[in-house]
Amino acid sequence: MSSWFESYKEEITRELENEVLRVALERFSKTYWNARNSALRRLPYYNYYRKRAREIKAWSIEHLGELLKMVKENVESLGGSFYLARNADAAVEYISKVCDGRNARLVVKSKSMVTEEISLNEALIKKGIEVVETDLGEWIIQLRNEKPSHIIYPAIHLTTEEIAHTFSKALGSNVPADALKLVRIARERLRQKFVDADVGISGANVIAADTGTVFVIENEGNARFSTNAPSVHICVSGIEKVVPTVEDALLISRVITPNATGQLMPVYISLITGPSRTADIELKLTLGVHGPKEYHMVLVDNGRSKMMKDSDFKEASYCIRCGACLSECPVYREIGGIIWSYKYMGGIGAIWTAFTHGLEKAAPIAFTCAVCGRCKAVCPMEINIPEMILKLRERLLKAGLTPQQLINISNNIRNLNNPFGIIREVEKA
Amino acid sequence: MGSRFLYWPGCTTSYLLPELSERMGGLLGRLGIDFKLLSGKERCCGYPLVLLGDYESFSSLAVDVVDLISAEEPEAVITNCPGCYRCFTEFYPRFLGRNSFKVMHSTRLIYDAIKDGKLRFRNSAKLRITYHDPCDLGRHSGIYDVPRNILTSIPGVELVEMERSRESARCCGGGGLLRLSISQLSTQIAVTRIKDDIAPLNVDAIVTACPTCLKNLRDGVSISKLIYDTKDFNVLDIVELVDMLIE
Ligand code: SF4
Repeated sequence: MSSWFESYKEEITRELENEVLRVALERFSKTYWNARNSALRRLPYYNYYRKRAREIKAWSIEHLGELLKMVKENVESLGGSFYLARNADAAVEYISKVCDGRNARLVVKSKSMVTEEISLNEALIKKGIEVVETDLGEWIIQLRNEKPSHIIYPAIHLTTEEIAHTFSKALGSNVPADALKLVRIARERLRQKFVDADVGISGANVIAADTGTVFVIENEGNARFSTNAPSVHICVSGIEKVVPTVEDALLISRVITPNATGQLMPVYISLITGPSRTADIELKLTLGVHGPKEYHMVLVDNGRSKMMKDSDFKEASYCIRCGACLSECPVYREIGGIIWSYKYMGGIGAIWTAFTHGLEKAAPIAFTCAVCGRCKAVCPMEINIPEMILKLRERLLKAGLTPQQLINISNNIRNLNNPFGIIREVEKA
Repeated sequence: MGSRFLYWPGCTTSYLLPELSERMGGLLGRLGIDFKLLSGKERCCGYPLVLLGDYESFSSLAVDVVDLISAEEPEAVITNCPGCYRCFTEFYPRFLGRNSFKVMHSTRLIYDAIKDGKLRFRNSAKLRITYHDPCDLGRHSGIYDVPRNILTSIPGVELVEMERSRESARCCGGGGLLRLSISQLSTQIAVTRIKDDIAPLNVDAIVTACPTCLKNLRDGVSISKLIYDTKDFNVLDIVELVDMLIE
């Protein structure tokens, strides 16, 4: 029943022998460690912020029903549409309809893990729509037809050299392994796409209920273009992103940033509160000036409310998706997030996957964890990921998803009094 | 009435590192500690079952182990295994709803002996070492200072900290049953620990306080030496180091 484990282990072996991955992760882990440490040294109130952030998230999850109602009322009163999607299919269907309604040919996207979760790109492409990822990392993996390997750094499994290689192939010309040149190419190739796009799709890092404001954190500026240039903006995110106030959302943004990238502040935090509007002409309210005229907020449940009601896993919904746990994980350091994921990677990813995509998809992720607790130590929200991994393994065992090799360990303990299966000579009296 | 203390080496020490349990026994003897072993009656503490999520088997095993230990009426159980230590102190009370016996990690015992002046070291040592925090002892049980206090009490031993130490320590790779289930990955993590965190320190030896770390780091040292030409570091359990340098 669990022979998948053997082939999964072969994949791990292949990743361990992947030279590009090895070099990329070695560079990443050193750079990240230094950047985060130096940022935290310069943030004297960090511990206060993150403790407050945890309180805010805990409170928000308890009061999510009323917060969602507030978001809906606010978004609608601003002239936008709000849709609560029960599952991935419902979300994809709604977004497809919006695109159909505008006869969309081209969609530009800024980074969003939730659209990965619901496999939105595949669905839109199937309809004949051109979908362009505009975050540099996402664009790179789109060119390579891969999935993101990190929630913050989608292309962190690649070296500069390898990315140059990818660009060379895509452009049919020889591109040097120089970050500056690669960025220039992305800028040239994407600029016109923003202008031509019919629809812009973004994620959200935090959402403030009291005003319906979406916070989008980024450094590149592509999210500003994507959410501003097309005449339709669809914001797609998870229901757990909602907090009571704009101030709360800003505080959480300040906790995300040093943990995500080692910055004190990101280059851009866009606060988006409904469609673009003006009342300059005789105070007549008109929607859509330079920014989008049509605005949709799609919040996805897709297993989240089940997670929040489950006392063993509720705290996983406090996750602010800063990625610190992945960036510091010793297992991630060796194999990265391509094979160690379904859509979400690493320890916290195993928990998320169990609820968004089911236990079977979560099993390989869960059994690759060393339960070392480094994630818990680094997590600003103090989420007890290792403990949840053990609880998840309990459910996997009950579902018959534990690899035979591990079942053997428990048989050894039962039959031979040790996990190794060593038969000890009976000691003589 | 049995002996005052019960020495519980745990499966990894007992089955895979018998020389370590002998050292530990020798050290206890030299300290004049009245102890006994369960010898043939030894069981697994059940920690691997916790790591498997097999709580049912774990609970019933734990009941048996408590009976086994209680029959000896020890003042405390002494173990050098952080896995057993964590299991006894965290998971036994949680699953059985009570504290059944007192548990001491070997480092506590050694440090107490040093403080009481019962342990004296030779003055001849000259050793530059680093200390690797075992996950089950450090992050999971909060014991960071005791082993360090031991090391800094030994004359001639210079403790050099890794950049990634204490709560930031990188796992040796042996945790979560990984050593048994995905051994290649487990060893690779140890190699990174050696190559990235330890090699730049230019130490003579790596000291830890966990038999699983000991085994995994030893594997890591030999592979890292082969691939990255790093030093042939000596990896020692703190019990071994203390026993070697004792007067
Ligand atoms: S689990 Fe914690 S460290 Fe990991 S992404 Fe979520 S908030 Fe960040």
